[in-house]
Amino acid sequence: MTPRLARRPVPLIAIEALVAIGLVGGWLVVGNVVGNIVLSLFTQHHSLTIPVHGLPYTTIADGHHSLGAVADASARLAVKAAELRLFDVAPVTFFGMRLLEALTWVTSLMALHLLVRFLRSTRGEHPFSPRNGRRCTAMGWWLLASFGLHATFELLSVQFAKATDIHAAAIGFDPNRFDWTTLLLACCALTAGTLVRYGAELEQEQALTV
Amino acid sequence: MPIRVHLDVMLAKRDLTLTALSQRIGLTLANLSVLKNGHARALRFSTLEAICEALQCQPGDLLEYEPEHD
Repeated sequence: MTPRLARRPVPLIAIEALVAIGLVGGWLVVGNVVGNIVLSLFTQHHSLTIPVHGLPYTTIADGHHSLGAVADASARLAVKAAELRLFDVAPVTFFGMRLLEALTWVTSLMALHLLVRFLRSTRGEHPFSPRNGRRCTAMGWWLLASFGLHATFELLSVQFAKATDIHAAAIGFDPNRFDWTTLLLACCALTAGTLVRYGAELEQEQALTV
Repeated sequence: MPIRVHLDVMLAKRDLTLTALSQRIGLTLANLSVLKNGHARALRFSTLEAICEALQCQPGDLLEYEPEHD
């Protein structure tokens, strides 16, 4: 009697839909981070400062109203910068956060690099072919690592904001409000997990192809 | 899986061992075992061609469709 090895296969359309959602979510997160950095550099270059709780720190003075969500991201970054630079934070915490941020970037770039290789490796075949199983799994793990680190960074930032009691109402930052980034990260993590699982299935199929 | 592989039957008819076939067609013994024991998920045409050539048979002699009953 032939042993039953195969579980019910995941429908390909579901995988593709999840990956599409994850990629859009991922790019939104990346866009958010890039926007933060660009605005931070801009504000630092032009030395725009506003006083909050009697302490000066760099941000676009009333950008929250004029630039909408993007300026809001800048404001959040400014709050994070203020927590880490102006308040009583131990150097080990400061460098720990920077290291975490750097690791997030390294893993994100690695995942992106693998995604490009994954899409280019197929030579006209569907990317989710058994031959690509190992790449699919590797990409999933890197993405999981990347989103996990990103989520940790976000959570720690919010904890710092709460611990230092900066509500920064003047620039519209509230650490207790619902954070859409968390939802996006959850979508991305779901996609990455699916890639890992589906990659393992493809690897098994490749191993059983003679 | 409703596709049955009769590699063991053909090997017995030709008085060949799996190891000998493996050496003739250049496929690993592990892969041939997967095929013989019905664990294979897919079979390349190149593999099928090599086996048919070595055993002097047709693909239909090796493979059979047998519908599954619940």
